[in-house]
Amino acid sequence: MIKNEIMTADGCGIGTVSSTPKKPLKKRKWKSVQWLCFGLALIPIISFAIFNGVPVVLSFISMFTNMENNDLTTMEWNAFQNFVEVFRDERFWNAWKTTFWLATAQIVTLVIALIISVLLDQKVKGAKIMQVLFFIPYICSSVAVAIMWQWVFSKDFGILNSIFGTNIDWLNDSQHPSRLIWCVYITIVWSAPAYGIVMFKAALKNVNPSLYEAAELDGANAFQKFLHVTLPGIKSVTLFLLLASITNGLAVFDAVTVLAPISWTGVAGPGDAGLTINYYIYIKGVQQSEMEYASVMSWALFLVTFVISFFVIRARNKAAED
Amino acid sequence: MKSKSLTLSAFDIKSENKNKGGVRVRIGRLLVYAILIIYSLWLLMPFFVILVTSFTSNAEYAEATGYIWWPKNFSFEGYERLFSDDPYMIGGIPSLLRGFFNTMWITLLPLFSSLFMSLLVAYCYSKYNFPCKNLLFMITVTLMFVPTGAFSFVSYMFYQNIGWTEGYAAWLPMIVPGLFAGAGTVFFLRPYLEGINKEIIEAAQIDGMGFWQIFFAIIIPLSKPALIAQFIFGFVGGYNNYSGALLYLNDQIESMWTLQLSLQKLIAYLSTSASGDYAFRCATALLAMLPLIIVYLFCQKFFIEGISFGGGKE
Repeated sequence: MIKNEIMTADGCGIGTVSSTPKKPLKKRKWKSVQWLCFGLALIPIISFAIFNGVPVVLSFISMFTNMENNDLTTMEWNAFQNFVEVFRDERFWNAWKTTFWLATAQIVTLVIALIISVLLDQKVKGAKIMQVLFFIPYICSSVAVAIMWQWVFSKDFGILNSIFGTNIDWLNDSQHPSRLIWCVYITIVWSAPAYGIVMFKAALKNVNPSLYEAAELDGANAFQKFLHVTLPGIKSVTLFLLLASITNGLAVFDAVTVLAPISWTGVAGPGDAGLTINYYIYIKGVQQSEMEYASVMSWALFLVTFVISFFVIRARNKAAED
Repeated sequence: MKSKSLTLSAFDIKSENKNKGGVRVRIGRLLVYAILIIYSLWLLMPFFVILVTSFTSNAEYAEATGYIWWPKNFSFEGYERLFSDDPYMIGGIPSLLRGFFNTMWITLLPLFSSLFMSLLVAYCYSKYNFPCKNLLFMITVTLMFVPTGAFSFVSYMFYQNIGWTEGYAAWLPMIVPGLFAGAGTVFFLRPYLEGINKEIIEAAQIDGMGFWQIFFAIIIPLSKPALIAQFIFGFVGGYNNYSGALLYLNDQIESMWTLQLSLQKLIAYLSTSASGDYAFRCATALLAMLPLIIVYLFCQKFFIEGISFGGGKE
C-alpha cells in the first residue's frame, strides 16, 4: 500500500508513471520550489549517512581486521581473531555483569518515578514546588552529581560514615570492590527518576477522568483503580520510558568514570569494579587505540540493546492483543 | 485542559465515601505527604552536604574527625581559591569559566543551526509536495529509530582518520555533526507544523509571499513553543555533555576544554592533593551546576513543558 502511494503521489517510481500514460495528472512537472524541498529533505538523511552511517560501517569492517593505531590504511584481515579474543576476555564478561547490575537501577528508577508522580497527582499542597524540585537532578550533569556523591561517600569526612560512626572506604577498597558499584547505583537512582516523574506526571493528566468515575461506580478501591485505570492509561509512556531506560542503562558511562577513574594500568576502580561495557570500549578503543577490539564490543552492546528492546516491544504487543 | 478541575486520581479523598472511615483516608493522606517529604529531603541532601562543605575552611577539616555539619566560621576560601589556585588557569581566567564559554558556543552554534534546518525540512514536509516525499520521510523516520548510541565511541576512529582529533580540529566532531537537521527533530516538528492553518499560508501565497518569506514571517513565529521545547532539550544535553568532551578534548590543550571536562579534570587534580581541599572541590561542583539551575528556576515552566512535550507525543 505504501509502495503504491509513493509511486502515484510522488512520481518517484518513474516506471509506473510511464506505464500508465492514460493518466496525465501524474506526469506533472515539479516546480523549482519543490526541488528545493526535495534537496532540503535530503539534509537529515545525508548528514546521518556521513556522521553515523560511515563510522558504523567502518567499525563493522574493522571487526574483522588488525590495525595499527586505528589507522584504516593499515587494515589487515585477521580471520575473526578479534572475536575470539573478546569472547575469551574475562574483563569483557565482568564488564557485562557490572553493566547488567547497574542497568537494574533503571528499573528501580522507573518504579520510584511512577510512585512519586502518582503521589504528586493526589492534589497535595505544595505539589508545584515539589515538582520543580524533583526535576532538578535531570539538569545536573552526571559528573557534578557523581562528585557530590563522592563527597557523601568519602571515607574520612563523608556524611555517611559520620552518621553511622563507621570508617568504611566505600570508593576505593580493593578488598570490597562491590561497594563502589553500590555508590554508582545510588548515584543513578538519585538522579534518573527526574525525567520519569515529569513524563508520568504529564501522562497521568491525560487519563480520562470519567474512567475513574466509572470504576468507582463499580465499587473499585483505590488500588484497583490504580491497577485497572491508571496503569492502562499510561502504558504508552511506560513503554517509552522502559525502552529509553534499557538503552541508557546498558550505556552507563559518565558516573563510573568519575567514581572509578582509570589507573595508569588501565584498571577501572578497585579490582576493576567500575568497568562497564561502554567504559571498556572507551579504554580499549580510545585510550589504548585498539578500535577493532572496541568495535566487537560495540556491536555486542548494540545487539544486546536491540534484542532486549525487541522482546519488550513484542511482549507489549502480545499483551495488547489479549 | 478543561478536565483539569475534574481530574480524579486513584487515591483521591473526594472519591472516597465519607462514611467509609475518615481515619483511613487521613492516614493515607499523611503517608502521601510523608513519602513526598522524605523524597524531597533525599534529593536535597547531597546539595546541602556540598553547600555546607564549600563554606568550611581547610583549617577546620584539619582538626575534624568526621563530616562538619555546620562550620564554626563561614569561609569563602573554596570559592576564592577557584580564582587563584586553579592549576589549569590561563591568563587569570579560571578553567571553569573558560570551559563555560566553550560549552556555550559549542552547544549553541549547532543547536541554532540544526533547529533552523530541522524546521525548514519539517516545513517542506508539512506544506509542500515534492519528489519522493513519502519515501524520504520513511527513510527519515527509520533513521530516527536506529540506536546509534552504542557506536558513539567507535565513531572516534572515523574522526581520527580524517584528522579531526588533533589540535583545534578536535572541536569539529563536537560541532559539525550537530549542525544539520536531525531526523528526530524533523519528525517531532512536522505534526506541529501540520497543525498550522493552511488558510493562513494560502492567503500569504495570494499576497505574493514566497517560500522563504512564508517561512520567516509565518512559520518561525508560529512554531515558537515547539522550538523552545526542542531548544531546552538540546541545551541541557549540550551543557551536560561529558562523554563527547572526554572523547575528543581529553588530550587537547586546556583552552579547548568544555565545562564538564574542566570540572572533571579539576576534581581529578584535587583528589590527588594531600591537603584535602574539600571546600575547593565542593565549590567547584556547585558552581558548575549553578548556571543551569538558575536558568531552570526562572524558566521552570518551559523546562517541564518542553521535556514532557517531546515524550507526550509518543
